[in-house]
Amino acid sequence: MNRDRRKVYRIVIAALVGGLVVSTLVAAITGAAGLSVREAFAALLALFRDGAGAAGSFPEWAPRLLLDVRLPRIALALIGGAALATAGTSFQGAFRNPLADPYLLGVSAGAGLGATIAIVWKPLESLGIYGLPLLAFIGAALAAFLVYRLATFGGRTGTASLLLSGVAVGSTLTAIMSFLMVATERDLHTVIVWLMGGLGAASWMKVWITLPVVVGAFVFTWLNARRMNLLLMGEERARELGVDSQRTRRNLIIVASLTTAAAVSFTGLIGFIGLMVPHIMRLLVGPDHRRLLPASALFGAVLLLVADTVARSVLAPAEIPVGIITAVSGGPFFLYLLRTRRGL
Amino acid sequence: MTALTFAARGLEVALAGRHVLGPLDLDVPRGSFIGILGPNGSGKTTLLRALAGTVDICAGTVLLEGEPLEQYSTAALAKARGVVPQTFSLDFSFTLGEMVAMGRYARDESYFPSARAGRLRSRRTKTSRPHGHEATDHPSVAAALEHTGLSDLADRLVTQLSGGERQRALIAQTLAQDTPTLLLDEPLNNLDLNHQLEVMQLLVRLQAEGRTLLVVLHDLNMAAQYCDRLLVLGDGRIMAQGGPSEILDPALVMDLFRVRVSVHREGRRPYVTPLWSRAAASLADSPRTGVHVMAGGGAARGLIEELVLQGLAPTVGIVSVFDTDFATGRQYELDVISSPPFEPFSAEAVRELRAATAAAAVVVIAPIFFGQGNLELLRVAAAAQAEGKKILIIDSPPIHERDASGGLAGDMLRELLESGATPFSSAAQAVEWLRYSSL
Amino acid sequence: MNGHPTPRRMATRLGMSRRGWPPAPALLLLIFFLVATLSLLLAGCATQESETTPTTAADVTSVAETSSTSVPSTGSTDAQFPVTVTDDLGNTVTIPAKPLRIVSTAPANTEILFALGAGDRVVGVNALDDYPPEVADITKIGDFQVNTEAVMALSPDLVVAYSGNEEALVQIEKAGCPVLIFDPKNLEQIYTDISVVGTATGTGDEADQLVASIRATIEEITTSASLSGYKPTVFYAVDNTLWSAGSETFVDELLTLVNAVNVAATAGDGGTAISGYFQFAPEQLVAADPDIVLLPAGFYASIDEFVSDPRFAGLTAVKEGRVRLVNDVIITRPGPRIGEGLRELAKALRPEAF
Repeated sequence: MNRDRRKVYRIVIAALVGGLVVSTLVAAITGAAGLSVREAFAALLALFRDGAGAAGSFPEWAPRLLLDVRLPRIALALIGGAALATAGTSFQGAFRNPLADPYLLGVSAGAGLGATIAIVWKPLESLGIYGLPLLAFIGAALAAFLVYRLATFGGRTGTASLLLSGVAVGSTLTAIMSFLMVATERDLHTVIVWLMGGLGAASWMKVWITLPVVVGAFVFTWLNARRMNLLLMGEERARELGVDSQRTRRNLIIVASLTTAAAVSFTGLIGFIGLMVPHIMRLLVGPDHRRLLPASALFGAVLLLVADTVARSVLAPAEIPVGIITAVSGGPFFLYLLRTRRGL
Repeated sequence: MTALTFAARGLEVALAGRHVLGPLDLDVPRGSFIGILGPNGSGKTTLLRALAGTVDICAGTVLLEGEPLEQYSTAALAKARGVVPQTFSLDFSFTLGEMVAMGRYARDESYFPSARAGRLRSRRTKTSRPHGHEATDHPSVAAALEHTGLSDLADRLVTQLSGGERQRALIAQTLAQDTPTLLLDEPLNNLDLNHQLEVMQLLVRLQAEGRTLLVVLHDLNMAAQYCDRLLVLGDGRIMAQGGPSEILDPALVMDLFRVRVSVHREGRRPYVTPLWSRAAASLADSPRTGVHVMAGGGAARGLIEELVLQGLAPTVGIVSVFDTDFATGRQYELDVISSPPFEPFSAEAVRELRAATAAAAVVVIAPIFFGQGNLELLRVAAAAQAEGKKILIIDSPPIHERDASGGLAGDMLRELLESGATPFSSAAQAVEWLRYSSL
Repeated sequence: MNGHPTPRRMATRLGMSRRGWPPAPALLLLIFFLVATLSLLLAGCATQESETTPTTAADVTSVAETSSTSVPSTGSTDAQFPVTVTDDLGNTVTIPAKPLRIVSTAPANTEILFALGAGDRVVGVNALDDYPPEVADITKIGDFQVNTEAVMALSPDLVVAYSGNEEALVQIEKAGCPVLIFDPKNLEQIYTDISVVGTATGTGDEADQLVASIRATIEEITTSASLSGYKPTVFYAVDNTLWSAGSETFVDELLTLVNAVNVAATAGDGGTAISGYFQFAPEQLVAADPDIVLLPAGFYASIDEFVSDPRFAGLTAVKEGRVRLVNDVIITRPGPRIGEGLRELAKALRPEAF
């Protein structure tokens, strides 16, 4: 029933918002430095009262910890998760394939190469702590741009061409990156850890940089939701129905690639969210992008937050790279898909 | 001069370097219902696409409502014309209603993605109607579903539709677009006959509303029944255009389709039935294969047609000139032995009959109504049998239901059977036997 | 027309096209500015918060101090504080009071702290720390990655760190805890680092003594090595994949001090120097044919692995049994045991002399 779908949607959104609140609370009290719920709240309150608060109701370092370390990390996780999920939804719509992911167009390879160069090439250290994200972003954006240009013939960019181009550019960039990694053994560890994804160096500045980008990208994509629905019938049919298919698809891909690049440059390569989240949400709220996009963004945010919380608390004080947690959940997910689809 | 929906001059289209259409000129007056016919590969779909603006034109101009097609934006085009392609693919779990509602995009009512259902005041009607957040609530969508008989399936997933339902869904989606012009590419594929008729009747109704329709069809008869103009394409050019009566002419059909047909003009519109499966220049050239049909009262119509279809040209007789079997025989230009009505057979007729049976190798007796007047047929048949001719008897309906000769006909038929005649329960079977026996 | 504007009319008024999706640039710009403004507002709040450091005054140099140089100061009384020092990255850091809760993020720093007698004030160490044995009981705050939260939870008032973890320590600095970052490239810098730690922890005297003692040890070993006249060519393996240390590295400096010739320092074409760490190709090693091969005990359980490798069977060192394991930890750790490290190297060169 269409009515049923609307009802399910409302329930899902409510559940996700609830999940968001709960996971934020849990993330706030979990970590290498343990806090109870009461302490966390007291500490938060103290922040608003500028440090004053019943002494002893929270450890002295708690307000600082929450404000400077945990909250930005939580925010970055939410933003990054939403970004990847939205980009994944865009890609799955643009390619009419529920198995597409945001790294298709060489974005991950480009980001990885950029980051590796930033880590390995000593002269770049003068760029400071924003050098790495900057280079990762440039790398990702350039890669996506290159892939897109290579796949465009006479104004038309076909799906198959894009995929081929993505593989070609991606594998070339990965090869260069691997070579660089091998050639400088010293920094190998740093590169590998970055590649596996991590939110350890979260800061409010990073949040302020990524937040407008991700919000803007989400809004842009959501406004194109109806067109994305029509695109699912194929470029030709969508054009017959009045959608400027080539332009819409191109814009969606560009925005999604840049969003992914922005997220990835600060968080490293976190896989599976862009792929799994839209896929799962489609099963719950249906393929209509007007519902799918907000649901996916919310779920992606919650998922990454939960994964990150697990990543930094299971083996505290050591941190498991977040990408490993998401990959671990990705495996069973694909198995489940395989079995339920009966090899379709 | 009537307004033209489409005006094409020197239209040429090339696909993948190959010239597939044109140059051609075409005028489509507003409000007309045009059927586009032609063999496979003649460019029907390409013509449709060229007019729809979905394929690039390499030469010539096309005007839509007086404006050059190139100057239409994608959106404006979608408001001016709707296209129903041959097929679609949508591998996502949208409901049928949602898919049809997609057609509303160009018109676009729903602005906000998920506002609560409010009420929209309509200026025109000064009433308020529920304006749901979905375009699915728009009346055009419901109307489109109803017109295509899909209202009950609105909540079914598109992935679960049958072939015919998919076809109709596509039509409904384009209907929801609410355009003054519609271009349909073989919309009757995969549909059962009743749905085919529904669609064609729907198109006629749309025409009555003032819309212009161009439909590519395979079925000549269907096109003739409903369209007011037919356009026949061949090798990318227009071979013929005109009204159904003009186009449905045996010589023209022969030229265009290489099929021998018989044109029937009894009804409102003409229709054709094919004559034989292989082209023959004229009946006169076909072998007189020595079959004689004893006919009367319309009982032999099917038999005669079957024989003609198989390429056999029987002699027919004896029938009265008012007999429908006479008309059938004349229609197929056969030798028909006739006799004046309301009299016993003339001596001349009987003489001709004997000559015909002598010339024939097989005599087929149709399930005629026998009375005193035509018993002579059976006597001649018996004589022919004695001379070694093969007799085939179609005995359905059974003789006692059509024996007004006091049982004499039945006796004579039984005698023929006992002497070696073969009975068949239908004309088709008899003809089948004839085909496989060496003649 | 009367009545409230329907969505369509509103759309037209906002300058949007009649199609609903998307609304024209107007709405997009509006949304963007809203978000940007919101972000900036929140940013302002947050930075304000973190900029209020609770107790420190601005750069107040201590009375007894002459300037903010890295010259070791004398005296270890509390009247010393606040002090200002400069770390290896050139950062000028002020320590307001004698630190009582010190976090060390590198094994070398931990050793220095303990050697200066500040070990009882160390509350957090690196998981890789192994010396002195007391560190086993101290809270671990991460390994290669410093866990900011873990450090914060210890409420430190001084962090002695190694370069490479700056990002993780930014928050701690912002919270008002002084952070010193060390990255010594040679012996002199190790001495400097020890002095700085001494000043920062109020153990300047101990620092001076430690430095003097290390210098003496080094001097003694160096002299004895050069007196011995023995000047072997040495290949020092940094790991088990033939990485070695070229010129301008720490290891090279030590090898020079024990009168060894570092083959890695002249492994370039025509005997030119290669600086930094790099990997030898097996042929290069064979061509260099060093007198002695030194293998790190951290990577080799015994010399058998190397000696039995057919590629190296022809090396002089292998044939004459001069492949030796060394305790690479004290050789490569830029801490107080560096003197012992040098002694280890000297012993490896002339085992009979020790």
